Amino acid sequence: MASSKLSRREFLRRAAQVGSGAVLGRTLLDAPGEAQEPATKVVIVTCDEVMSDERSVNMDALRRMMERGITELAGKRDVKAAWQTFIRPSDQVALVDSGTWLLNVPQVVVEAARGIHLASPQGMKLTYCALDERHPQWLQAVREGLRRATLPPEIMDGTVYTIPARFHTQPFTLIVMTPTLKSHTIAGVSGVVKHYATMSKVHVQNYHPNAMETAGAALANEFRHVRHLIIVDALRFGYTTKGPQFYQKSLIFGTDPVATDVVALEVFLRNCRTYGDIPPDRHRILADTRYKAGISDRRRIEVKEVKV
Amino acid sequence: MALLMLGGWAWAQEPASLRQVQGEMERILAAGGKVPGWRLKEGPRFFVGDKIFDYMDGAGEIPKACGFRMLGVAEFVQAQGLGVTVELYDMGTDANAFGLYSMRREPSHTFVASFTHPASQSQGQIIFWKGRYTVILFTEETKRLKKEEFLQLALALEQSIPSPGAYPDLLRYLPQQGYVPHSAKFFHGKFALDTVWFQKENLLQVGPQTDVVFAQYRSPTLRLLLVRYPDPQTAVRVFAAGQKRFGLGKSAAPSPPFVAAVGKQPDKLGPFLGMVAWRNFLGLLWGAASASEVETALKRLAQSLQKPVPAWRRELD
Repeated sequence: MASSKLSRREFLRRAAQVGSGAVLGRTLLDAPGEAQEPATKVVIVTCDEVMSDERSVNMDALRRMMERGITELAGKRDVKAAWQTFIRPSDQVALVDSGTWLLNVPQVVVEAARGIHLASPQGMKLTYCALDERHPQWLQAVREGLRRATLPPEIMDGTVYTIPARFHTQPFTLIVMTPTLKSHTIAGVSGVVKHYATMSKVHVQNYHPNAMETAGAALANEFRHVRHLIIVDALRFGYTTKGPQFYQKSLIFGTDPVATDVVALEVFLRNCRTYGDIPPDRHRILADTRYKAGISDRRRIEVKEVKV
Repeated sequence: MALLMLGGWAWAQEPASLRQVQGEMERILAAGGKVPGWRLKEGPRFFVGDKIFDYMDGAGEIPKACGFRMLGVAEFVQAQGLGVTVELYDMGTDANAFGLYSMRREPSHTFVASFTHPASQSQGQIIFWKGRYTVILFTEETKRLKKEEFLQLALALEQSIPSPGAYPDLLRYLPQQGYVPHSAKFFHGKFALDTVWFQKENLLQVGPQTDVVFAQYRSPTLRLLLVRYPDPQTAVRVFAAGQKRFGLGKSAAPSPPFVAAVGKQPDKLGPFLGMVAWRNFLGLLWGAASASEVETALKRLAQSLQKPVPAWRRELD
């Protein structure tokens, strides 16, 4: 479907309507108004040199992006100390990849694993999506990257992120995820909140109706007990099941899944479009206003944008 | 009771019709491996019902909303490793096959005339329909794969489908004046409707028993939804509910036996909206800049409902 151009102005206007339609109160109004203390921070790191196509990733640039993002988010200069801001020694960490249809750039997952390892949590599993098994070359690239980073490929576990998933059976205390964004035929634009819906203990199709308006329920009901570190792999944005459509060359960091998703959507809409008439903001805002799963109010999100 | 499993097709007990369907799809897909320079690398794998989500996640709701029966997926590859994925959908009927094709193609695509019905070509993708089948070929090797070799594979698959198939009957009722070629979309369910006109409720009460067509128009710029219900009572009921929901005022154009209403719909692009009901049809027009524009369009729609064209023209799609 030819995607409608959802301008940022229209996005914010419609977001206000969805917010006020569901529960009066919170909106994504960007207009000057009542100043609010930011409740959460999101960092966007962009590097023009990081990649130009699927075959060429500048590893040095990617590492710089990862280190800059985590240090900016933590407000610390030391990379290890920055990772340790979010990862405790007692943590059991699940590193969750983006799954299929826009697979991660493998090195993003490897760099995230490397960063987690620096913080020395009690345990870490790279809970890759079971559907990745259809992409053996991708899995092999991740394994090789882990080996080069002196991480054991045995941390890879494809038995948790099945569909439906088994995260609820595991003792994870922290979810680190590297979702991708793409134009999506039922969510408009898929991202962080929708990704949690695919990680639910019930089949994700339960969340499909009405632009996936209930997707936030999974995050709220099944993942409220864990902490979150979101590293959106925005090196490129995808188009449905057909691969990359735009090379954004960014990573987006946050600890509030909803807030990170809202900002990632804004970045997406700078150069890409929602699918058809589907409002991509709807499920994100409802994740906040209906399910209290995070912050969608843009006034309460501090965004820092840096270039490396 | 039939038990179907993904991937290896481990059947406990299978309906003969599904076995036939699969056999026919295997025959069609095998034609791809006979094209010089191409060989079958993987598959085919088959998916029915909700198992389609295992292949294509939420995007599977669109083929479902168009009435798909079975999906077969195969990977073809050239000697130098350039690959193409082929999705072959048995849509059950010609109309549904056109439907899924229509949901995936856009007026902005390039159209290839050498197929039985025009095939849509866009970045890395060829889509066509024939008989009860919709076929989608896609590749990520857009820079390296030669266009003519990609087309050759698509044509071989198309030629292995015996019957041409007919366009959905509902298309005949679309006004022709101002119609944007290749813009018509045919479907049944709300997931497909949402992609062209999103409402959080199923206001138009679409579902497996309804036929829906969406079309774009220019001069003036408008969007049209035409729904055919199983009975006139549903059309009247939906009209009344829509009139109330959008606060539309009664319109005298078109005149009885049509019932029509016009008003503003400020949360969509183009503020004016019109609705018309007649027999078991409901029409919805939006995107108009003025009430008179939408009333003119409603009158045209009424005329084409009463006097549909004998057949949909290939060059329009």
